[in-house]
Amino acid sequence: MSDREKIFRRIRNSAVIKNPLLFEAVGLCPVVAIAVSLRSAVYLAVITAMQMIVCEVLASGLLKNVRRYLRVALYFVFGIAIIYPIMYLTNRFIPFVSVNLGIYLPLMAVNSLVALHCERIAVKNTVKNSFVDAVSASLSYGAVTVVTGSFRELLGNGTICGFDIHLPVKVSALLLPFGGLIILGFASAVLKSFIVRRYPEESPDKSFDTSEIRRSLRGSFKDLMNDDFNPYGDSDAEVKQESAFDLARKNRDKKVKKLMKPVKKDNIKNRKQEAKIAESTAEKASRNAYVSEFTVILEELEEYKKTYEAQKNSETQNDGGEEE
Amino acid sequence: MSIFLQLISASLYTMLFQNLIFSGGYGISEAVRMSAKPRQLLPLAVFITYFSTTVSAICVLLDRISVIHKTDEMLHAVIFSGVLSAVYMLTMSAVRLYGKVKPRTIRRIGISAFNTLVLAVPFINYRSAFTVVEAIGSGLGAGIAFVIAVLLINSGLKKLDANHSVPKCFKGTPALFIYTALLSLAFSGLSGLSSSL
Repeated sequence: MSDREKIFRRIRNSAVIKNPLLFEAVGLCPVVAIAVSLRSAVYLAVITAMQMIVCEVLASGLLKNVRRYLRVALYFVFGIAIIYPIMYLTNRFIPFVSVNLGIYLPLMAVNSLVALHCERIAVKNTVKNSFVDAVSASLSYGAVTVVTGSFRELLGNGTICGFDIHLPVKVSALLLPFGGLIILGFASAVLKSFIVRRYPEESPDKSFDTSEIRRSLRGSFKDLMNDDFNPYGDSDAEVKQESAFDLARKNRDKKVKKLMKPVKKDNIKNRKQEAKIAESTAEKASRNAYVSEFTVILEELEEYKKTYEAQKNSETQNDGGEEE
Repeated sequence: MSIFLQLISASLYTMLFQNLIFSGGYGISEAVRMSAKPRQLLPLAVFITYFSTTVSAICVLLDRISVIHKTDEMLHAVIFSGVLSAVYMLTMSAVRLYGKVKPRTIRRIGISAFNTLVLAVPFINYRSAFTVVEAIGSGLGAGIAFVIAVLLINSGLKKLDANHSVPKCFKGTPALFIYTALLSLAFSGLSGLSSSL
């Protein structure tokens, strides 16, 4: 598969088949609450896109080696760093939009869509792939937001982009979260039927796993805490395959680290003796690990030799056949 | 007695009359997603209640300082976010001190701390000028509102899953959204149209 095809497949997956809003039910709060007009929907889509792109690129470039619990807090900090200046500028220059958005604008700093994509894709992929994912996910999110906002404004207010359409009936309830959810429901059904026709091999239902809905919610707190919990799901990350050489090196490092750990005992003599023993055993372990590495290399060389000889034999046989 | 009544009335107001999830849309993604995983309800509800109550109480206490009280909503937003981050980091440090933390616990705490429901509570307290007791009640109410929302959506999800007359293209999230929309309309009836807009 060429690079172009890979990128196209990635965009198709994150924008259509795994649409974050319609099939994964992520980032619903701002759409349901504030996408009540075309203008606010566009505003929301632009802010989300900015936040997504910046957070995913930063997460991919800087946060791969940061611990998970710190990463989650850092996504929030990035969100604040993006949203609050926008909030300040909106308050100052377009106060009517600011009034419409209310407290939902600062709440966008904790957008679950951003955290999900950063954890699922950005920290396991290259910056380029994370950027492509951020752009496609935010485009699909923006498109759904704009459609929802337009319908709600049209049917709920009888206007579109502020212009009165003079509709005979207005359904004001559509301006409530109810309206957002019901439009998302119908939009999800339309997109699902399109996917079933266009890509019959794909199933959007996989994005929202309902296999556990009948499990009992009762149990001791300890048991419930021990249940597996992975809201970020499986990733389509390009994780590097570890070779036998890497594994041997990793095992050696682990052993050495374990043996070199300081011994917690008050007796100094014992500590010194144990440190000496630990050092000697660590040396032995590292030597053994080097030997095992070396044997792995030798085995690989043997394999190469065999395949090379086999290739050479087949080539000479072919040459003999052609000469005959 | 009056303190107890204040606590109860504030929590009832947050979980029923102004159900933050259905009437306000706060934390609706988490409620919808967790409705498909009922085993996660209790741990998440405990963590969400802990974060919403703690952050809510601390923010109201901080707002009593005159310098902070005089600032505008923008600076209040920064303070609320700072309090949430600080409570999260302190909680994580405490949990890590207690022993080896499993990745699933870290995920649970992360999702419980950083969601719109928990961050919305101090904003609502600030706008409603709640006292400390009312703020605690509002934090508790937010946690209970989350439990109510997940239980209601989960029961609907089970029925929708078993119903074979639902059209194929509406199976899954489309039907779930429409069902949640109807629940939301019902709760908006309790809070009133004008107050939610």
